[in-house]
Amino acid sequence: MENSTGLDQLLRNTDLFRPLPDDILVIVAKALTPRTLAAKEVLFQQGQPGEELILVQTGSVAIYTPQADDPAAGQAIRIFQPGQVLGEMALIDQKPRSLSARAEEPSTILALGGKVFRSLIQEHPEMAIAVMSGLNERIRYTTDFLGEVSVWVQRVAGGSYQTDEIIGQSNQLKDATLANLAAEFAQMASKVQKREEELKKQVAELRIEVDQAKRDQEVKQITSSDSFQSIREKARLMRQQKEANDKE
Amino acid sequence: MSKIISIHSFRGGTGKSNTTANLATLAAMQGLRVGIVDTDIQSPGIHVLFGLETDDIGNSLNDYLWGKCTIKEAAHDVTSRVSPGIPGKIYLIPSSIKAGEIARVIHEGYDAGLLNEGFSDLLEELKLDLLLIDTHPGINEETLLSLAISDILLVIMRPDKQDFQGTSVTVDVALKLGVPSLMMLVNKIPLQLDLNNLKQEIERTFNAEVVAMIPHCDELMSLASEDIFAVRYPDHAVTAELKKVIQKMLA
Ligand SMILES: Nc1ncnc2c1ncn2[C@@H]1O[C@H](COP(=O)(O)OP(=O)(O)O)[C@@H](O)[C@H]1O
Ligand SMILES: [Mg+2]
Repeated sequence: MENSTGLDQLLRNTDLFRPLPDDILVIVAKALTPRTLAAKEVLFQQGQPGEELILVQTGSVAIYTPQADDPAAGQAIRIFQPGQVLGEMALIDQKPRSLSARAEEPSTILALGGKVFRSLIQEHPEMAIAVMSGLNERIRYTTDFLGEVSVWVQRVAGGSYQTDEIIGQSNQLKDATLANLAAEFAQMASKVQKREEELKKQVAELRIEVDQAKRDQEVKQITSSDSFQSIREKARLMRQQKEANDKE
Repeated sequence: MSKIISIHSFRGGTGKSNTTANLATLAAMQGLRVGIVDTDIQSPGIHVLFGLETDDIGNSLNDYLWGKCTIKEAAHDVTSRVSPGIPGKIYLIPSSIKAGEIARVIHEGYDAGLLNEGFSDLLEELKLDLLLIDTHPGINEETLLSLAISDILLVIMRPDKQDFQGTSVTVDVALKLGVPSLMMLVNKIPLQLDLNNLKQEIERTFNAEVVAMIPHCDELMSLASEDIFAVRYPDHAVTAELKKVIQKMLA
């Protein structure tokens, strides 16, 4: 059973299970149900009751907000890599799934039933603490995530669409979710930029049209009157006067 | 040498009063002595920018034109209202904001010659470096005389179809009056417009120099004439553009 050493290794590398003693890990390993998922296959749907915890073994699984018209599509909120656990929240608070989950590529996962999970927590307080620190980490992650998003939003709101920079950054981002978000954001920014530029082009061609004949006629009408001539003359005298005053 | 500068536009609401108040302030910040006359007697407005209310206005331009006071007695020193510590001076000769007095001027008209004498008196008695005239929009006789005696005429226009035809006539008439220097300021430019292109288009159409291109500015609009923009936003691009105008005028 070469698989079981691999599984043992995987559990040892999982924050949630690491604190458990060896004999318990063996029990956990036996309680896990393996499943394979095709790319884009939905693992669970938002609103369903959550009855198991998922450990990613290979590939990657995303939790996401499902689109109304296509429940398998939607912006990924977070992507889970091998060794990471998702879905434990619904097991703790017994509430329906707050988001949907799908495989981002062909993946294998291991599911742990709610009953086993809860009895493990009861019997091994170290594991309860590991669950808590996992939740803690999630809160920190959310804060960082929002911080990053707000920087980009501010940039776009300020009219600077450095999509190259965002894309470059997304290549460096270790976190798959942020990288994914950055890519989508860069795409959005470049769409907005394109639209704005098109708008600019349209209006930039403002032509100033003046009816030249009418202009000349009105000017002539004003300037040929007697009063215009007298104003002109008065102004000339006043300017002379002022020049003389300025010299004094 | 003192300079008389008329700020005019063919239509109302183009930003004459705001521009006048800001130019005056920027000049006073450089230590100049500046006078402002609100000759938009029918729809006075610039007093608002300096925070003057009915009770703050003693003698007005109307009183001078009706022979009730000298023009110097209608001059209000508003320097400290703008900002403490300005090295120069700003004197405002406001138009009356009392409905009855506005109606009387509209009904009876006024002696434009007397108004222009008033300008000379102000230059001399208040030792002004600059006298800015916030004019009534359009082309009428009283306004024409103010334009005619100006050393510089600043014509304000928005990039708006309503402004083009009338502004072209105004500019031509002013040149025929012998105004020594005519400058154009384009105001409230929609942000999407290409500025270089617009400037060329305007200079080509009106045959006059465009000295400033001022975009539509949300901060300016939100100020709602409650304060002088250049004081509130000293580092804003609009303030920088207005400073260039003052430099050109003083050159
Ligand atoms: N560049 C600008 N951007 C936005 N609003 C402006 C701008 N210039 C002037 N305004 C606003 O336009 C209105 C009319 O300005 P005002 O100076 O009173 O014009 P006028 O004296 O020509 O009638 C005011 O509410 C002012 O705040
Ligand atoms: Mg006005």
